Amino acid sequence: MDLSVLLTFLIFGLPLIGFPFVIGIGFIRKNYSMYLGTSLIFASFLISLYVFFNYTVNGVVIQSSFNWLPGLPAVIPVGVYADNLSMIMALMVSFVGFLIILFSVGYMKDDPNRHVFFGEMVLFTSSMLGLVLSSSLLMLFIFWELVGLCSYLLIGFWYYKPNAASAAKKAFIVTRVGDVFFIAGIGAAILYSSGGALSVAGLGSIHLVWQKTIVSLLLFGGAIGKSAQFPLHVWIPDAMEGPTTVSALIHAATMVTAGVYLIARTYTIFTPTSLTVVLYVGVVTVILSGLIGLVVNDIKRILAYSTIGQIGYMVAALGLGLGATSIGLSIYQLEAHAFFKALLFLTAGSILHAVMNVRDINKMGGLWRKMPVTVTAMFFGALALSGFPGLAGFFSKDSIISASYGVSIFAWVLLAIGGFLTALYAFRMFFRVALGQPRSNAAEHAHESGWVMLIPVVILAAFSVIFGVFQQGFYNFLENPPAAHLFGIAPLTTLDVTPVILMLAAIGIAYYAWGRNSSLPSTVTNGARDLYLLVKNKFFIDVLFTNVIAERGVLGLSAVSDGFERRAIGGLVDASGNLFENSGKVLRKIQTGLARQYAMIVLIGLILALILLRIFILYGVI
Amino acid sequence: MIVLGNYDYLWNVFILFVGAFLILFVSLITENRVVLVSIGAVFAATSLVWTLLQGGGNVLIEGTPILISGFSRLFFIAILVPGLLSLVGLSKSPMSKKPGLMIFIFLVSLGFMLLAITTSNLLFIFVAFEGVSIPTYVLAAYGKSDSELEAAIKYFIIGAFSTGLIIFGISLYYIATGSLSISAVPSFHSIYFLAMGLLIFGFGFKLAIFPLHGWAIDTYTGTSNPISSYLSTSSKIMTLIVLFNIMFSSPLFYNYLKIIFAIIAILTMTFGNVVAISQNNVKRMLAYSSIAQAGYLSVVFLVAGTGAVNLAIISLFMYALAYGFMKAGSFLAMDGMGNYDMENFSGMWKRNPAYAVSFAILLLSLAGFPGTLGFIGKYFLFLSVLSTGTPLAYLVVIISVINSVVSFYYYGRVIMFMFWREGTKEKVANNYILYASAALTVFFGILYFLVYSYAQYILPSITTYLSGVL
Repeated sequence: MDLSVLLTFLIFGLPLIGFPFVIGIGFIRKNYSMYLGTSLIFASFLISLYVFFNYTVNGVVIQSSFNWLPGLPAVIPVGVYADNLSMIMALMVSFVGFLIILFSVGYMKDDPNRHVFFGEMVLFTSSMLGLVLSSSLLMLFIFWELVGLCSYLLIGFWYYKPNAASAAKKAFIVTRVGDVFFIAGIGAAILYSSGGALSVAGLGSIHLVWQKTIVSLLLFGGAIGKSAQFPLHVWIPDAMEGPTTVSALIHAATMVTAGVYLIARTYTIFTPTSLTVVLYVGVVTVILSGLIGLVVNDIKRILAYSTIGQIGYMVAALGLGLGATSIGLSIYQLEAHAFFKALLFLTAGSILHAVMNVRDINKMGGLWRKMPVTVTAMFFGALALSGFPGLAGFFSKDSIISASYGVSIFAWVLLAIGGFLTALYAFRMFFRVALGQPRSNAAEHAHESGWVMLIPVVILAAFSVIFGVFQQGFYNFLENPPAAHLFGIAPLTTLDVTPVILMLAAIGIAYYAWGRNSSLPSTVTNGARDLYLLVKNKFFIDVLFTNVIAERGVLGLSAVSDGFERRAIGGLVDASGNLFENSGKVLRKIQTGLARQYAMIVLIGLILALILLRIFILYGVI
Repeated sequence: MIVLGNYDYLWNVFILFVGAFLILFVSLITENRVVLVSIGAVFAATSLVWTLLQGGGNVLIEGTPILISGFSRLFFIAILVPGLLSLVGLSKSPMSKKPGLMIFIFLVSLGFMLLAITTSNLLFIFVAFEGVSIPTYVLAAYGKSDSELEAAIKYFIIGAFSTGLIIFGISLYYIATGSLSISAVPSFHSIYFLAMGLLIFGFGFKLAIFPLHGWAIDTYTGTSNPISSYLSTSSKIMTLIVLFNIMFSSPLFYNYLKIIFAIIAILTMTFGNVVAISQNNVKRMLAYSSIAQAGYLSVVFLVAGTGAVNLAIISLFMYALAYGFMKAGSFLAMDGMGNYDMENFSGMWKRNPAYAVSFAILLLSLAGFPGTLGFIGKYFLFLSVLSTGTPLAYLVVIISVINSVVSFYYYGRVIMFMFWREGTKEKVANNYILYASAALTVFFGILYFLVYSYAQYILPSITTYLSGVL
């Protein structure tokens, strides 16, 4: 095996093999699993760095693929594939994952089950790394499911809280809906190319346009579930019940970016038809999440809706259909988002740690004075999220908005309004948290966190501020294998002004309405009561899913199939089971326990065999 | 200086004998079981590492019929790995007060196992085979309980009976061919086939194939767990390879004996599986399942004389390795369970989750669940048999697959008891051999190409696999 392949394998293999030890060592001493888990992810990060600078930067695409089960009608390719896209993702996942897990060392230090927590975090990160480095859709799917499983385990980590348990189930089931599409997509790919298209390198072996459309739309269905796009976004806000570091990992580095990565990875099979669908799903998601984000009071849920919106931008960027430019726009947004969203979540985690897990922003306030470093970092995070010129979000998001102008003015208008809404809810949250007087007892006694939690926050804040300088290098890197130059930003156009004006207006409105005592919010909600209720109830999508589809449709269907299974299939299984069990009871009678009888049986068998041989010799064989 | 010729290629065998005698001396000083077992394990592990690092190539030891080939090295590994696991298992199992002698006997038999599969001379095979049999009779009888004595006596009686068959077979073989080399060309065909039939049945008793299985169930159930594990893994794999050597070197084998083996394989696996279903004692169920596994392993004889031999050998190696992990791990898992009633396993998920998960993995691997080495071994073995393309091969593979499906029933029952039945709350001690076997079964099951490429590296070409090319 080539060294590069081995190293690429180790990036995800090391933590994957190591995670049982992380849990196991916790039985000796719980703190050991924190150190082991952190160092495993750090080792992954170092290996990714090495692979990145030794191979990827020099234009080497590491690939090794073989047929996992030879002899079947279809090929099952398995292996590693690390091109520029994969390695950029792997670097980001391992780096942000490392910072989050380092933060967790401080955040979870008093939890009695922290060894399990760190084991699951390591498994989570390693499955995401495996996902981005897989050489085939099938292997990608396996890691995809592992990511889903870990998210289930981690969201429900505080399983004794009923909310957490049901949120974990919701996340699992909703993403499963998407996974059904993914499996169907894999099935269709096998059908149309006898498995050749399963490998990343062989995606081109689907030729007909309608076949491409079908496969790509089915894969996009999987991406919708995992990346929480409309209409399957409902699991993410509930997923906030888990520990905050889990939310950070889910939202920034792993899980939700998997869908975007999947689309980028399989971009060659997306036809104009399917790209239009992708674009408008993204745009609708941006608007919806922006509106809902305005009326939610839970600090983590606001961030959750902002994630949905930002992922919406990534999906919309891919839907623009600009080829490699689209991938560049989208992945750059993904990376920038990873930094500022991890930052926002970690700062939110620090704040929750300080205010005894009161998550209602109306009960905070005045925290800037109490926790200066954390809240300043949060300020930069919010600025980056809103797209303030000079910060990461500006270069990533506003480039997408400007690029959409050339494709569809309608999309441009909606995306720009989405930017306005983003800034509005981001600063609504920030002003409620940071300014004014403490509005609860817990907020009055908040204090700054320890250094283990501050270091990752500061590093992430720095990245959120300076990440813009990589923009041009990033695009070049994803478009042509050799990176032309690493620094520089894409040229700005006049189109970029509109979102900036909207953003500044939004910050102004936010300060006017929520930065000081004002009656404006209640006036607006009372004035547009119906609209407010519609948004407050999340456009009734959750209700549609649970009350109509799940209770009326799925339960009825499952009752029918349950009856069929019990009577028809169950009867058949029982009958065949009884047949074998009864013949077993007869046959065990020859096991008498008497050695002389065993010898007798041997002798009879021997004589029969010899007679048979004799017959063969006399008469020949078939 | 003593010139040993190229005897130094046999160091992996000598190490075991040296270790055995060292233990005998150490046991004069101390009878501490942990010390003795660790010394034994170090020597066995050294032998294993030595074998692993030796690489490919054929070496004929001067003046002897011993040929160390890549083929024999592969199966050294498949014998040593479960042997090592069973040896480590000896450290926990309740035994008599003199473990020194027991470990001495254990290592001697392990050494003879390696010798038995390297040679092409029937008398040499016979001596090495007895060098395995006699120590293992003693091992089976080493406990003091009635069940262990009963197990050993049955094993001994049927073993002695088979020895008679082997000796008779060898004399007839000499009459038919005028030689003791296993690749000799016969001049009297009917006597030759008589001899081959006797040899199959004589050697086959240790493999516990269908009409020869009787002792195996009582012995596996009756003896202490490490010895059950040893008898059902290392000893079985050794026998399989001895039979493999004899059958594949036989120039007339291809036409007739294949059918006998097809019948034996079908009967063995069907019998093992069907009777295992109605067992309520987990250890006894494992004994029956090891009969069934012997049936799957015997399927390999159907590839004789076809182009599929190379793949068959590699897959046999993978399956033998898997079999070693699965059976040694699951028999050793019985340690510390008190009684082996299935009820006693209920609620295991609550009592010791790691135990429950690992044991479930081994059972699934025995049944051939994808993602485990048991599946990979079975899959490739059946694939190699199928690629011969004969109707007989299809028949045997179809019946084997049906049998695998049936086996899910009784393996699944244990899993069901462990995970979904409420039972006693009594804690179960950690069993690290079980955990290690389960982890390796999954690790190599997913990354099976590591094993596969190692086997390919050892066996670069088909011509080197037989020890019978003398």
